[in-house]
Amino acid sequence: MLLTAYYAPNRLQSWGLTKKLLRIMKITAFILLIACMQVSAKGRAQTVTISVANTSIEKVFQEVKKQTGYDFFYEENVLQGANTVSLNATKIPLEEALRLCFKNQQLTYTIIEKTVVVKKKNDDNINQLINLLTSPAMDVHGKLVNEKGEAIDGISVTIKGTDKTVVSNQKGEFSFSGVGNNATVVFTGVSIETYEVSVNGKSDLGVIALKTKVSALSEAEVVAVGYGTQRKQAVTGAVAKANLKTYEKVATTNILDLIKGTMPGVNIGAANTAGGVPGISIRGQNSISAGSSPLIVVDDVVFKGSLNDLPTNDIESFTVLKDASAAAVYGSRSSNGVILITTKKGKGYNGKPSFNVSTAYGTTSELQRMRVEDSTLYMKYMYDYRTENGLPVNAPLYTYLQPMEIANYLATPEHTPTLADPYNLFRQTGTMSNTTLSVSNQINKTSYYISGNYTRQKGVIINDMYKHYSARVNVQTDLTDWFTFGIKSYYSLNDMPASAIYGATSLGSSYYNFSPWASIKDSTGAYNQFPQTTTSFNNPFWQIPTEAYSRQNTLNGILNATIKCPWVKGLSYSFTWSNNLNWNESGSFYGLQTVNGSAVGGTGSRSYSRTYSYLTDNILRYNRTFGKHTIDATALIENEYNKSYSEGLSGKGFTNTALGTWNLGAAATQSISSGGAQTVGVGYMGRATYTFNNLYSVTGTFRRDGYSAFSANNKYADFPSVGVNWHLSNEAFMKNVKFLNNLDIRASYGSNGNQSISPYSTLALLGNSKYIFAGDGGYTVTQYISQPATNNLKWESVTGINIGVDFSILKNRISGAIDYYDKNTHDLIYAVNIPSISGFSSTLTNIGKLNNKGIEIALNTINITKKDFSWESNIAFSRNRNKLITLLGYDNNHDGKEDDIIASSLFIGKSLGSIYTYKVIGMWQQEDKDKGTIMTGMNPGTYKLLDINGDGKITSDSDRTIIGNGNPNFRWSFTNVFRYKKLSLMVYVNSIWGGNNWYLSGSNTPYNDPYNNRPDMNHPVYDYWTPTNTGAMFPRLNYNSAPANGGAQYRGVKYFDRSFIKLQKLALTYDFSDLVKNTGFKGLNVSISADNIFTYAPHWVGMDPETNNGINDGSIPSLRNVMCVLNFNF
Amino acid sequence: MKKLLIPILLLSGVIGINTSCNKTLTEVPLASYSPENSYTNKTQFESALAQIYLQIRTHMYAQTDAASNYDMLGPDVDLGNTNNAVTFTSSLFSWQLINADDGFSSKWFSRFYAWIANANTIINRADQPAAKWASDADKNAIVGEAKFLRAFSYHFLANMWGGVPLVLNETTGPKFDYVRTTQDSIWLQCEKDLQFAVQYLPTIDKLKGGRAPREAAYHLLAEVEICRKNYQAAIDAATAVINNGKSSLMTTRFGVNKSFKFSGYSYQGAAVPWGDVYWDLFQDGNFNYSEGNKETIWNIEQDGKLIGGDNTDVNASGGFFGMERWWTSAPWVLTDKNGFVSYLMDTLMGRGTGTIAPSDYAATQIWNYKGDFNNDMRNSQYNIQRVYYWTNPNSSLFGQVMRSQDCNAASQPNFAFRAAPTFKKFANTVHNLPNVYPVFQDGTSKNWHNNGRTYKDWYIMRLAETYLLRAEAYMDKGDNASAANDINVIRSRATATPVTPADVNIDVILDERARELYGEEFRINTLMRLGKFVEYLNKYNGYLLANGLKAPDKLKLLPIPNSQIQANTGAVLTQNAGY
Repeated sequence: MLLTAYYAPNRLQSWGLTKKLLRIMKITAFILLIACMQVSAKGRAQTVTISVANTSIEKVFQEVKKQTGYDFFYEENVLQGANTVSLNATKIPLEEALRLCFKNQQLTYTIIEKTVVVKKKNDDNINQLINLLTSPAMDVHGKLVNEKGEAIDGISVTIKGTDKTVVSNQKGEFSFSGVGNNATVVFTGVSIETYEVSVNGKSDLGVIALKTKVSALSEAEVVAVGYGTQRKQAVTGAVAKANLKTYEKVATTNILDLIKGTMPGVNIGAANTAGGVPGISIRGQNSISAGSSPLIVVDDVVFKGSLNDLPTNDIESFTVLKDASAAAVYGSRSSNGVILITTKKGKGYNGKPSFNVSTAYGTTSELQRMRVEDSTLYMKYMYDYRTENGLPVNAPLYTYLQPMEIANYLATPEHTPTLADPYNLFRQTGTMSNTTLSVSNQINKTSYYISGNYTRQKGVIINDMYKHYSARVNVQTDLTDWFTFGIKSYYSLNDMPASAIYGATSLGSSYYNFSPWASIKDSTGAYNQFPQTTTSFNNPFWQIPTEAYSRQNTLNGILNATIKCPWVKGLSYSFTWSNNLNWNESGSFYGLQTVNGSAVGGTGSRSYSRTYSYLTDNILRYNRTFGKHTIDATALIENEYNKSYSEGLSGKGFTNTALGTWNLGAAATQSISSGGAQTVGVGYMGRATYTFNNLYSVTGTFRRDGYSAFSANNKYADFPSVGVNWHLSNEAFMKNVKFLNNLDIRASYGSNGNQSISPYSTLALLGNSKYIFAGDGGYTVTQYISQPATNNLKWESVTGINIGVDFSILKNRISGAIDYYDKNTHDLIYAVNIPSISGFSSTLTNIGKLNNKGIEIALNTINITKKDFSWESNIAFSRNRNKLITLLGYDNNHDGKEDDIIASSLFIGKSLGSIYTYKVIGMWQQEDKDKGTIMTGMNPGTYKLLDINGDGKITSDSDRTIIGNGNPNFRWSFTNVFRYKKLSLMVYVNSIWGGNNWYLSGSNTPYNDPYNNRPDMNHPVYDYWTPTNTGAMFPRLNYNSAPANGGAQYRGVKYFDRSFIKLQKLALTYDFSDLVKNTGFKGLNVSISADNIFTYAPHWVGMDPETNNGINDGSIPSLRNVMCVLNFNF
Repeated sequence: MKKLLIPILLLSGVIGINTSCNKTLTEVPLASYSPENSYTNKTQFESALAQIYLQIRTHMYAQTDAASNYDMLGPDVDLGNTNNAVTFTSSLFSWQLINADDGFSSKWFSRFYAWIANANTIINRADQPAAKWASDADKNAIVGEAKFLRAFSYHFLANMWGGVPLVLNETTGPKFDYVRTTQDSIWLQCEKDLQFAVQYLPTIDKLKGGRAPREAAYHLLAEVEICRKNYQAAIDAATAVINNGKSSLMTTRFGVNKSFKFSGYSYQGAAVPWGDVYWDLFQDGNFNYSEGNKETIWNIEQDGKLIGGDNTDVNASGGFFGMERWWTSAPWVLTDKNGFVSYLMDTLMGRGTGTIAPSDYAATQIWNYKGDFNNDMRNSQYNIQRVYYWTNPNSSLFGQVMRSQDCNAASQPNFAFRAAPTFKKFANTVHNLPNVYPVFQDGTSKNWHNNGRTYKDWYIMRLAETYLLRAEAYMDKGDNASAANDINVIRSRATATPVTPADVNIDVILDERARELYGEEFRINTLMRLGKFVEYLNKYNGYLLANGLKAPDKLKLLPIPNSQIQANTGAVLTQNAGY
């Protein structure tokens, strides 16, 4: 807002200043000069005598100056158009004279010392200045912190309307002298939202919390790197921080829902049940059998709960350590990447508590439903079934139905189905509500954040109900200026839908088998166990337990203390002690009207398990800058301990089932079980980063881990890494590259481990079972050696490089990061087959080598930024390729190449996920048979398979080939945020793409359903071959039968490309904050959003390609949520 | 100074906490026992023996809920046919395709070695200092039982695969360099183990049912000696059982159902006394010596009431005795020409699925021997049901004999299978016994059934087979008269016409085995031991005959599974000829 004004040359003399200076001087500086030069204020008791008529006001000013010595000061042109003055006054006070002069003018004036400042009425700029200068000058200081309470340096602090600017120091402190007591202080910086504070006569502005800038292009400069934070420009590895702000006001079911698709290389699946947490993996599959879940660290402690435990609103930051060098600080558990989550710290509004309420409500429905054959198609199926299987159809078709169906069929003359859409029996409209309340504040040196969450989610299948309750208290206080102490604690209860509620088979699919003429209930209103006579189909209602529950509780407390060691500058010690207790309760009871219970007089069980873990971290940190040299070093000693306990009770055979699981002791047959395990881990880590002149950074990390579950000879392993960062844009020679705002080049190399191995899995163990001998009346416990010891099993380790570029160009309008990685997994833990002549069939061994390489691109662009309208985009792209380099190292077939393990689909030199099978190249038709060109053993309507060796038959060893891969070719997503005034719209598009035989799936095969080719049960509608439907997608109904019965001797599966583009989320948010400002609210937002809106999947048939649900028997629908969220704080 | 003191104190406190928490990384399992402390006394060794008995029960009789569970008993060889409309047993009945990846071969090869491994652990650890014995007798009884079970396993391997690797010690770590030995050295080892066992195993009257008595060791020794061509030794071993003074064939009605009455399969007419002594042999509750059965030698134990008695989880896909389910017929699913489906009734029948039906050989040919179709007790109406009745009271055919021509179009093609003869030994006699095993109510008839699960014990060895083994040894020795005598002991109990010494040959003995031991003897083992497997497949296997297929000659031995050859990277496991 700095105002530059020039003064008319003809006024110069009257100001007593040199012409040259005035020409260029800014008005502010000038006035300040005046203000500063005045030693003290003088009285204005002067009088003037003026007698003028229709005289220009300028002339009057000159006269007044002559009589009083007061200067007049005004901007050029201000006096243009001013009215003339007529005045006749003798010895009136100066101010009275001026009042009369300005009476009919569009002008006003202020007297500052001995200067009369003339201005147009309502000129804010000048008013500011005047305020500034008319108020007494004073010294002002304060401290700047970010949301986490960390001091922020490098922030420009300016007195509004002046040139007076200082920069906050490393402690976040700033100070001014000689500031007006009405002044406004403005804070600006690349990483923060501009913020203003009025001095209001206060000299100490206290601790001012600044908001980190929302705009995607200016990520916070400090990122979590595990056991501490680092300035972004010193980070040498691939560290990505989720931009949570974009979605802050948008409804989400959990944190993964929120970050899905926004971070390249972080792959998040889809959940389709209430309370479901989608799967997550980072940068491809690094292991064949040791799992691919990343390590999750919450508030610096390895997380033992479910991500459902953490309400999205409690999460302050979400950072992903993707490469070896970044993750190396977590050593033995980090080969699948690390997710660092921090929860919120207390902050308030100028000392007052801040209350935040976020409440969401929504409905859930199926993305699409499976279509089941209606009565017409069901009868057609019967006809096709019979003709294809060579069965007579001479009788009326209905007579081939089951007895119960026939009765229902004949019950009405129109043969009205008893069941139009069986799925309706099991579906419900899901609802979802989610409320988080929080209050937080920072009072002097203490901050607190307290929150509570209640989530209730009702899925789309009956009984699918999930409830979550959690509460969190985070407190931190500086007990002294060198001792900080904090506690972060939470309790979470996940009241899960017990998996048993879906029955023995998933309810979502077993309804497919209901005939249109099924009798769901008998005459007494009870469910028929066999609704269409056939005993192969149990009524799904008979599979639902009478009682079922599953509750997961977590109680966690993290205590940490930081001591700044006063005797060495920059040295601090911190101690973390985390205690975690998980306890899970589950139980179920099957009464007499259930398949499980009816045969045994009711059966029930309860189980209870708990895990107690603690972790201690002792961390020494040293961070200091000496001139151009900055050193940041961390040393850690970590101890971890876990112990689990489990107990189970079960009983069956009740004379009275009324009490369910509440009186299992009444069961005729009872059994109990108990178990437990213990693991101990120890870790030592050192990390040092050296930065020169904010240009070059080098980080070296070394971690040594010990873990009890590893074999006797390999309890410990070492994980080193090294990385460099070149802050290229800071180089002198880059200063001239105007379009470039920031450029960093990173490179790193290091290794990580994978300790997904169960306790005791390397020990020789005894197994127990039970047997009876006649006359004992009870059982004998048996014993045997269930696994031999493996004394040399060691850590699976991933070693690789990462090269990355962070850039920002065109005034930060385009920014982003590009990363390339290439890593090898060594010592893969694999269950190698051993000759079962030993009595054992396999043993865990370290073998082989697996390579993963890939590229990730994150791009943030500000496409439009206008006063009222802005459009920002975020594009994420990732691509991963893996290759099995070597595995067992055997060449049993003596072809000079290492043998593949075909049974496990592991092929040397190929990617994991390779699909090795017969290639379907078409369908045999009647004319092939007529011409005699059909392959022996095949029939019309069976798939034509590629006969690779051309011997006229299909053999498993010579006609199978790798037809493609089940992994995606690449993934991309595109998030757009449009803002118009207070309205913002988010459009999020997510895509996983195959093409070129990538991302194939064979699960879309209805003819492999166990009850296919049976007319006594219903089926999903699918396009099967008949003599009149020769172009069908799927083969004839009895494809899986023997050739003599019409089926095929050689069978293949047709694979479909799962490629899709999804309109994943649309969210419309309106910020009502301004409207409610006067009512005491700080902010109010309303957002309406919808998930899973539209899917474009050109090659897929059936349900959701993302969840790999096609049209076969096990397919269950994906969910679509429509939610409204109200977010306000006060 | 004061400021310094506090952090120093805190620091030392924290380090104190840490050192005290610094647990050792050595693992000691909390909820699993270790081998080191689990083979120290007689009770523990008995537990280890019980595991092998459990494995035998599970593998032979209760592993999966499928017809294939009973494949060692010969339903897919010469004794049964499968219903072609049921495709889920298609891995069976394909002997013409036998190769080194064959599932039957690799399954049993691994199972027998798993039993051997457990037996070896017992035999080795009994001699280790950790094992404390009250007396040598205690130890020898345990080791003898383990050696018997090891020989039981090895005799299958020798008979069916030939000279497999001979492993006699506990395997403590992965081993990849197994080599084969000769068939005769396996038999020799069996002979050695059994000669030890017969000295120390208790006799049958001293044992609880389920454990192998001394008689079982002699019985097996008889078979091994035949293989080793020591025919006199075989005769002696068999004689040691037959003349032990404790065992004898049952010749009069006995046991739980000896007074059972039944009103007929059609449920019409008055209840009449039902059954004969052969029928009594297979009644639940009649299998053990302690239950008055003098003919039993060794059987498995099952009990639906007891934990460890079997898997009573109704959704389990195995772990229960399901011969009734897979090996009896299913006339109850047939629909008559008026559309009335027959009712599932408790007509001594249960809820069979008709998956395995007796082959023509087992259903007809063997019973016509010497015109005894109507004389042989084992083919009585109590023991083989050949006639079924319509049981739906709404049907106009209610109570009448089922005939193919009375079935509707859908049922007609399946009639032969659904209403095939049923060997009643597989079925329970009474089904609505909720206190004995899980019961299920049929949707239409409201009758109770047990879904084909019987929980009855079953014979592994029965005295009748000992006679037939001795007969074989006599015949091999050239003493056909004695052979005929032994065969006639069996036949006279069954009221069948005696054979003459001139009649005796191996086929007659095999036919007699089929009549007497249908569903009991390990038919494949018997046929392979005798070199008759390929011949019998090609003569009697319904699937091969119907499709004009031939079992290859290489099938005189099963292939060493490819998976074994491939995993054995340190040495070459040679394959049997022809694979």
